[in-house]
Amino acid sequence: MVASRRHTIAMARQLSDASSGLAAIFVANHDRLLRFFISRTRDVADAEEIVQEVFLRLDRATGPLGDPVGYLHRIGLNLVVDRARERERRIARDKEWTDSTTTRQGDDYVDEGPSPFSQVEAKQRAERIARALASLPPGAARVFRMHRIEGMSHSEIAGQLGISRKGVEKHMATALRHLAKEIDQ
Amino acid sequence: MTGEQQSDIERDAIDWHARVSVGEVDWDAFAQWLDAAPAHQLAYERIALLDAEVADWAKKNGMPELEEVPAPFPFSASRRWWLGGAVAASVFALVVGIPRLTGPSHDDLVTYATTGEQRTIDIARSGKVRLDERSQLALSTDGQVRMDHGAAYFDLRHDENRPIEIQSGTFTVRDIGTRFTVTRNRGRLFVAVEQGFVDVAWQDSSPIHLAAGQTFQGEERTGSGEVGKVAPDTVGSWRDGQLVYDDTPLTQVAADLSRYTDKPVEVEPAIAHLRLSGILLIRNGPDLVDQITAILPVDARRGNDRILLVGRARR
Repeated sequence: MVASRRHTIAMARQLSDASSGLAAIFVANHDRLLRFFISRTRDVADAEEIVQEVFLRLDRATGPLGDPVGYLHRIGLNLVVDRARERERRIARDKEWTDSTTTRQGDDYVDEGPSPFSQVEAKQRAERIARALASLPPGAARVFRMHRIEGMSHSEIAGQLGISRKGVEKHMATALRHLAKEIDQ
Repeated sequence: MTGEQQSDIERDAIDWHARVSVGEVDWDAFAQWLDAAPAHQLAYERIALLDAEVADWAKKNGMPELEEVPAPFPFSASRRWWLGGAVAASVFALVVGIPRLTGPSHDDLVTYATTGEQRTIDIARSGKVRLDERSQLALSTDGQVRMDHGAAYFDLRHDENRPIEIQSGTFTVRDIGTRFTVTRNRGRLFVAVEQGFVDVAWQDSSPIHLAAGQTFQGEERTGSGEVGKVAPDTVGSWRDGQLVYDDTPLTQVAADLSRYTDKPVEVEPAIAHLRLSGILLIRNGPDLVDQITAILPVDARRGNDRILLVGRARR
C-alpha cells in the first residue's frame, strides 16, 4: 500500500517535470485527496486505489481547468460510484446464481440471465424512475438534463438559464430530493 | 435514530451531492461531515448511487418530455407570462382567462417517428403532413396532433367541422386552412406560415394570429416569444434538401441542424445573438456544421453528447 503510494507520487513527479500542471497539483494535494477518500470510502485500501486511479486519469483532462483541486476530487468521487455500482451488480448476479441453483463452485459464477422475478423487479424500478423523472419540477428537470444527460458544466447551465450558480445548485438539490422521495421513498 | 434525524441527514447528503455536481465544494468540510457519523457516509453513498442510476436510465431512454409543465396555472404565473412575454405583448395583445383546453385524448393517438429519412402521412380528409428526419408526432382520428420533437410541414384544407389542432408542449397551434411548418426542439416552438392563417396559443392565453410570411418562436417554459418574417416560398425548404435562412437566429439554425446530426447541436449563450443568412445543403450531418463554421465566426466543439457552437475568438 505504502509502496504503491510512493510509486504514484514518483510517477506524478516525472509527469510534473514534463510540465503537466495538473500532475503538480495532484502531487501537492496527494495527502489531502487520500484523507478525503478515506472519509468517503471508510477504507484505507480502497482510498489508496481510488487516488491511484485518479492519477492514471490525469492525462484525460482536456483544456485548462478552472478548479483543478475540485476536478481531482470529482474524478475520484465518480470512480467510487462506479466501483460501488459494479459491486452491486456483482452481488445481484451472485444472488441470481444462489436463487437458481443450490451449488456454488468457488468464486466462479455463470451469468444465466435474470430470473423472471428480478425482471419484474427491474421493470418496476424502471417505471418508478420514468415516473419520477416525468414529474420533476420544470427547473429541476432542466438542470438535471443539462448536467447529467448533456454533460454541461455548471457555468454553461447558469449562462443558458440566466440564473446564478447557487440557483443551479438549488435546482439540482430539488431534483435529487424529488428523485429520492419518488424512487426510494 | 428518529425518522426526523434521518431525513435531516438525507437532506444534508443531497445538498453535498448537489454541490459536488454543479456547485462549489469545501472539500475539507465535506470530509468532516462524512466523518461525523457513519450514517452520513451511508446517506451520501445512497444518493450518489441513485443519481448515477437515474442518469444512466435517462441517457439510455431519454428524459421524458415535460408535457405537463402547466400543472395548475395560478394568477401569479399568468402575470409572469405577461412579464416574461413583455416583448411579445408589445407586438400582439394577449388575454388570459380562457379555460385551458385539455390535451388530445391519448387513447386513439398513433405515433409516427422518423430517423434518417422524411415521410409523408395522410391526415384523413384534411390533407397531409411531411415529417422531417429525426422527428416525432402523434395523430388522432379526430384531428388532434401532438408534436413531440423535430419538424413537420402541414398542408391542410380547412374544414369548419374538423379543425386541426397541434399540441406542442405548452403551445397550441390551430390551422385555418393553410401550409405551415411546426418545429419543436429543446423546449422551444417555431412556426412558419407559407400560406393562409395559423393561430398559436400558449397555455390558456388567447391566440396570436399569424399570416403567410410570418413566423413565431416561443419558449414553452415561460410562453415568451416573438413574431418574425419569412419569405413564404422558403417555408419547409428542408423538404427539398435545403435550409434557407435570412437573418435567422443561430439558436433556430442549431435546432434545425440537430435533425441531421447524430448529436444535438447547441449554441453557447455568448453567441446566441448571432444571426445567419444563406442556404445550407442538407447532405450529411457533420458537413452541415462545417457549413456554419465557414459562414460565421464560430467553432464547433464536438462532445460525446452534443455539438456545441462556440465563439471563435474566445477560446
